[in-house]
Amino acid sequence: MKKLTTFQLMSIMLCARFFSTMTYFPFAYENAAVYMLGAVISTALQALILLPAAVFAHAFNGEDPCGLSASKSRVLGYAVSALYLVYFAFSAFITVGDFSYFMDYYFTGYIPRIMAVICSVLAAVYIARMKISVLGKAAVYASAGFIIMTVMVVCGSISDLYFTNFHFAEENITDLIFSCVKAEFSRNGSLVLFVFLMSELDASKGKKDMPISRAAWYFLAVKIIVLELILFLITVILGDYVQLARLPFFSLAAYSQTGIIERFDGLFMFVWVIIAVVKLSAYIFCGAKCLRNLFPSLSRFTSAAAAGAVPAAASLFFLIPHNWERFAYSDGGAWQIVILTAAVPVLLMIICRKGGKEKNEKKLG
Amino acid sequence: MRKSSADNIKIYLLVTVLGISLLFSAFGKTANISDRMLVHAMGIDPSEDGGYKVSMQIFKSSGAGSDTPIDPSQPNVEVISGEGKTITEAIKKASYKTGREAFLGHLQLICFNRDIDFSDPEDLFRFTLADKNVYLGVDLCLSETTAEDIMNAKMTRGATSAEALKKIIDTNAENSTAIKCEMLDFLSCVNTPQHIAMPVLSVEEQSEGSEGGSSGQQAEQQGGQQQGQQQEQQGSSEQQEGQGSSEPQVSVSSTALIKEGKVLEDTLDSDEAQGVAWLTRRAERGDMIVKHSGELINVMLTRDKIKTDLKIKDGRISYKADITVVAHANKNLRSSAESEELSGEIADELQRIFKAAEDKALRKNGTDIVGIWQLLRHEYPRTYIRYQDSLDDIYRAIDFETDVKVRVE
Amino acid sequence: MSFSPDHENYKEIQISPQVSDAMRDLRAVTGNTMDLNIMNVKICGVDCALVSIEGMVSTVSMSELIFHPLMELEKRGSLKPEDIFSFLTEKSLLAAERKTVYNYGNVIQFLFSGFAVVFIDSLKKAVVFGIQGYDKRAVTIPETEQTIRAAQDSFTETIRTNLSLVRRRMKTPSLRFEMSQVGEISSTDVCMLYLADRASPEIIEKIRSGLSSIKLDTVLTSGYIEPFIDESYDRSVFSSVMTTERPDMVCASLNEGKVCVLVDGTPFCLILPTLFADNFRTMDDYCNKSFYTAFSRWMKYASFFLAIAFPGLYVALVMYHPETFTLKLLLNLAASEEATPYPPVFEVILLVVLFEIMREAGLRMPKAVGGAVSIVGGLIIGDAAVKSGLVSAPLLIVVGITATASFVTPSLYSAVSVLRLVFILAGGFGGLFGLSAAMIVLIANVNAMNDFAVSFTAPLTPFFRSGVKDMLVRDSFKEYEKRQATVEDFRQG
Repeated sequence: MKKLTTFQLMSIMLCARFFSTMTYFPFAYENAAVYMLGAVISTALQALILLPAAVFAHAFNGEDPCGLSASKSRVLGYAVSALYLVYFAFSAFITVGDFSYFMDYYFTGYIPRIMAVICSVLAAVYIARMKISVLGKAAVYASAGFIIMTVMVVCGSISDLYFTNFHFAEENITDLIFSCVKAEFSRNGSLVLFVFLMSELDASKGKKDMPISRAAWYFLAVKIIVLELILFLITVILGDYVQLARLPFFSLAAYSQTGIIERFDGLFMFVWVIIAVVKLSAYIFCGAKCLRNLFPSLSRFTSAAAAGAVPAAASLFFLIPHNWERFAYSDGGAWQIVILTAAVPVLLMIICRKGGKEKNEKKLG
Repeated sequence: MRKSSADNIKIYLLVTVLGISLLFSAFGKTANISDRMLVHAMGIDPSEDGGYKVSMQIFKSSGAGSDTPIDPSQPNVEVISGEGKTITEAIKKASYKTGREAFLGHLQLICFNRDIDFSDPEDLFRFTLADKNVYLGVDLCLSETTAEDIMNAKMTRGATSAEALKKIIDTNAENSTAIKCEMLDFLSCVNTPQHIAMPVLSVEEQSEGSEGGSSGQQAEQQGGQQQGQQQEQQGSSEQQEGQGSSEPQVSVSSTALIKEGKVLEDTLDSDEAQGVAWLTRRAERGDMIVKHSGELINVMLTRDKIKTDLKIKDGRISYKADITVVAHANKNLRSSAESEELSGEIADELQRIFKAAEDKALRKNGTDIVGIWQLLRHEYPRTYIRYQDSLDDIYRAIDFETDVKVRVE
Repeated sequence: MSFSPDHENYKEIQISPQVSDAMRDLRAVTGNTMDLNIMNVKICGVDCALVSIEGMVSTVSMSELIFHPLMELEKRGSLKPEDIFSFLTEKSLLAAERKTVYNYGNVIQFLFSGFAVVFIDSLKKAVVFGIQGYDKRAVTIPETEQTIRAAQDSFTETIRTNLSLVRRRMKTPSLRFEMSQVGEISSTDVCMLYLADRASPEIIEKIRSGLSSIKLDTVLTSGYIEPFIDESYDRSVFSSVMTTERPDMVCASLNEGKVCVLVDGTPFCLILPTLFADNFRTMDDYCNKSFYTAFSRWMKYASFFLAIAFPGLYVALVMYHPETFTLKLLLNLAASEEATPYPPVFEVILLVVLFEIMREAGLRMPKAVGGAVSIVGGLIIGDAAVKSGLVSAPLLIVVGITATASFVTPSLYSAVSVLRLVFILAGGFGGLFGLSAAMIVLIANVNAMNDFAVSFTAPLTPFFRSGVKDMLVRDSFKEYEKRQATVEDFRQG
């Protein structure tokens, strides 16, 4: 019984992306306007690499790569599950580390990094051990909270727009655009989440136009609209201050003001923590599922606990000696996304197509 | 499907550990609000040994008890100061005197001495960049004498003295007699040309002996007999003090120009500041006096439309501002011809102040507080890249044009 | 084989054919209890016995409906036992309810339910007549769910009265009542109510099997039943089983395809499966115009949020994020907290605990001293605590608003009370971080409730257009005319 709706899967993907938007903005790219252009190009590229995944979903009726490869061959199943497990574990490691790093660095000095890691991972394991529909519903609320917060921040700062802050005066603009495309692309692990979680979708709509992939298209559309809006506002309100701000969106929230609420950074933090836990839960859920593919005797609880504990412990190894900068500001991750979103499904389509056809014929027979 | 008891135990254990973790997430350290020193305003002067002297207005309740925590007839502030090699160190030393941690979340005003070096905003404002609590929209100002003098000017308008100071700047900015400067404006100059206008505050001591007693009488009417008696005693003691030290009057004397870290000698008077305000689209309203039919008339202007544009044509850069304002005169105009005449006079006056602002800020001092470099960067990025290190040449050569339309109502 | 039954072994034992033996057995089973009334009589030459429990039967009914007709029968001269049985069961109408019983188990069951039992010599059976006359509470106004324009009657402890209150509101043959007995010792009547054309057969079957699985000795209130039919009883803060004492609420729920369970001896009916949004509905919603209903419903949602999160949010902001407050508010708070000895988190916990003590005392104490406690409570918490500097005035306002808000949705009170403390501790020790961590865990906990394949958070998540408008602002009656949403619409899988 499939339990995730398209909207819920889209919300999970959005939460994963919004966390990156809220947590870290590549301040080294001084020009947010250039980043806007890069983001559009990056989104177009993401739409392209999602095409194989969409075809895969349609061809195999929403089966995920691990399940399909396991049905073809046990060794292949293990290999694919291990590949995705490594990615999800690493993503969880990055997420929990970023969360703790920026929590400690920017929000409060009272909560040590180790406690931020422990609390967030425990909460995420609690959610991840349940069914995916729980995570999906929580993601819907988290996304809605993010949108509401963004609207409130916009309303509080809309009187201070200076469009002249918007410019493309950069010396090596082509290189800069390319860097921005790469940076934006590497922050879209949501695409891998889509490929992995599409097997959880309730694909009983019966429509011919690839309903399973609808979540991904909607995600891209909402993501680019929200991202461009935030980037635009950061540019026209904060101007060149962005170069100094590590969390420009946070700075924008802190700057916006209404008569009742002096500033919105508290609300920002509230939403940020919730989104962080949702994102972490998603990666832990996926990692736990991969673990259960490899070790079927594991229970949901044990696999979720393992999928959460290992990245948490690994992140503490770098967080405690204050060595997290090497991960926080890196742009790695683009090629992994391409492989896991496009290359693996294409490969599996080639390998399993014949087997899939026979299976379908058997079903009809 | 009912879960087994073993599963339930695991879940309860997980939730319990999470709960305990949250309880101990701060390791038992709680930050009580009474442990914080609420800083409202800060004055920064250079110290004798090359460092900084920081004076801070901090909140000190002058209430009559738990029923009335704040007495708005009192300044409700205390001034403390500290010195250090950096501003952060000076703040820390000042906070040690109170035994509390400085809380800058409601810092409303930072006042600088004219001799402070503004060439490195990132270094100067390091104490705010490191503290996420500080609001980016903190008002900045200069002091005519020392920043400490401004901090020592305790006023009883508003809940705290700093609120009164901020209101003074805001009111002047709203009426376009001064240009407001926020910390965000200053911090935006990190890697870009620094052209800043900042209001200058000055303090006038004024004798107000009778006002101390009258405030006590008012409190008696407001507060109830017992409280009123207490405040009357307070008021009368202030009256005794008031004959020596008094309620100070703070005003915005001018608007200073800052370029490349230095405060320039030339300042903008209220007319020139109004001109800059209109040209930078900050002005919502303004006042002016025009001579009409031999008499001086007060005119209130409100903004209708402002459009600024930069064009490069035939190798020349021209800046054009189209400004439309609505004017309300304190005189009954009997005919449309009279209205048109007045409209022309107002437009001429506006042109005059625009010219004065242009001459002083741009031509004479090369401070582009109008934002020409931003327009150039926005509309002609390649030209900007080519000339970004020699913008002064552009300011000297630029054609400056303003087109003013006035609608008298 | 015959042996004397006792109170442990009697249920399956067949009635003795001799009346004297049957009476002896009955006395043995009941331990010769003093309220067992046995009247031995000869009717047309046949030995008979009329057995009842003192205080349980109506003596007037017994006299008119049983004694008088039986004495009339005497005029016919001698009759065979079978003829007398035939008269009692087929040829007369002596009571509204009449059954034939064959074993002592059923005899005891009916005797203690207020039936009169007639034994006839040489027959291994008896006839029971429903002539209950025990004292029962009259139908009064609802104590816990008051409304302004909706009905003013409520359930009582008598299940049959309650069933009649429902039946006369739903005059449809599809309304079904399934009665069963639960409790090894109490044999409490429990009745399942549902509309056969609306309720899901799977849900009905699950509840039926849940009820039959109860092995408790006694079932005295509806709360005893809940753990056996609520799938997420021990895993969730909230409950997918709602209780109500209003017949109109039960009828509305039945119309939505829900199943209700009435328990004899308690005026509260269980309704399941319920949605979270159902806790914010009252019958007054259907008596007012849409705009007012929308207003009051959103007030309830806001009150719920205030009730659980306001103190925790206040504590978190004051202690960790004071920059969020406006300046004047912060100054007032700072000045108020200046003189208090404890951190705000402890003050809030103290006040909340004090409030709970007051509330509990108000519930349990005799009404006569209620006024005195109100005065003491107001003085202690209100005036003296602030003037003595133990707590600050703003905190009192916060707790006061919270306490008032928590009574807007009484069905959620137990969850709200616990969650409030959780959020206070999370906010007080972890700031907004703690608060958000607690919030997301709560959201997940609520979202995990999926009893009977109906998501507790429907129709919001998963999104069902048919129900969302009704949840937010109440559908118009024209929409209800077209289609009434049922829980079946929200079932998944």
